[in-house]
Amino acid sequence: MSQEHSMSTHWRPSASIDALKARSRIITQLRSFFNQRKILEVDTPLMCAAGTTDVYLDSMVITSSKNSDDDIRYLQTSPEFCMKRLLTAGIGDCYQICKAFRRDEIGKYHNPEFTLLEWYRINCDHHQLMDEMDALLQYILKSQPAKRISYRDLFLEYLGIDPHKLSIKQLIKVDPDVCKALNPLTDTKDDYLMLLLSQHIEPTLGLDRPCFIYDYPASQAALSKIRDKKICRTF
Amino acid sequence: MATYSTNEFKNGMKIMLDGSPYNILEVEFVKPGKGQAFTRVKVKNLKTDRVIERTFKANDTVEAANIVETEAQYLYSDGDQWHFMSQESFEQYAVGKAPASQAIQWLKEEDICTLLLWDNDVISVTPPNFVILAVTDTDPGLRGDTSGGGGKPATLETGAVVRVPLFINIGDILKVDTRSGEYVSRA
Repeated sequence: MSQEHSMSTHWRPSASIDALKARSRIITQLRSFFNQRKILEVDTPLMCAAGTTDVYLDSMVITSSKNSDDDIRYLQTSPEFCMKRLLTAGIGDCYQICKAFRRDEIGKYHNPEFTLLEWYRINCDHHQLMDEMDALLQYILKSQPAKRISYRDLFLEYLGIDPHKLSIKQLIKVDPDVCKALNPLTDTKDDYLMLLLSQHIEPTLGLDRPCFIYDYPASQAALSKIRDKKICRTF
Repeated sequence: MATYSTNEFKNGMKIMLDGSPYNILEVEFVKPGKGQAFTRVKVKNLKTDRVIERTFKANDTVEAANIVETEAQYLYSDGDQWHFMSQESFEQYAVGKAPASQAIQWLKEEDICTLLLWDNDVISVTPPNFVILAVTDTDPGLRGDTSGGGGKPATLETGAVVRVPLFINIGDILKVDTRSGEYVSRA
């Protein structure tokens, strides 16, 4: 009796068995979606010799040998570089479901270790990719067709401002209180746009159906194609 | 000076904002895709109890508030200030009206309460959740009326006024919940 009382339940997984079964079902559905479309599943290294170039992503650093301190490896923040290497080698359309790691990203919706789906299509622009993403979401989540809105129209609709035209000073005027989180001397205009997006727009997006935001400012391109020097073809 | 990174933020952590100590009530990590991460918190001003929201850039540092809680005995009042003695350090604290006013109506001399110290200044006094106090004044109850429909005010020995059932008389000893200020039972 006393032994039973002293037994801890800390070993229990934080996810319910039902959630784990649903997860397994979703992963099976993902594979079937990509198989039907003749997209190849690939598997690339999680440990890489170089970290990420993304400004706002931090790689976890590990040592891969106990004999040498400088045998450093970085856990991938996404399989983007390895999969682009395969694309360059001519592998064609491909997808991957893998673990990714991002330092310091922890919260209600974030875990430093998480499972990521990434896929690439040859000769396909971001609007065609949105079509495919929408089909995938409808297939897996039984969601309504997604809403699509450009980054510029989104800011016009929600805040009445053109994000490409305003200066930092003008962005601060939108919400001076919230903008105290940033420093106009050291932070960039993109930091201010991201702050306003996350505080004033994102919380109300995608509540009844998914929402795609496309054509971001070129300064937030993160490896995507740039159009007219101002806008990048990403979503 | 101790500081916390916003990544270390947890509920219950005490931080300094605009020169005042705050208690963290809620922490949310916000990150738009591959963009800049932010930490949004809901915090309560420990001096005024006012709750506000604040957003920080992830990895920013914030000064920690030097907040200590101590059990203390209420000694006496000199009219302007209320005097307490820590049960741990036996140090004495003189407390002005603002932090003491709410708690003092429930405390008799020698009662134990909790002091919140910020840089060794008392910023709040919390009485025990339940106190046992005698009634010093109340209208006589109507004989036979035990339904306690409306109740009536009663003044307690510390000066606090609470609503009590009609059958309560002067000299009765009552148990009162200090959080709601409500009568619980006869003690």
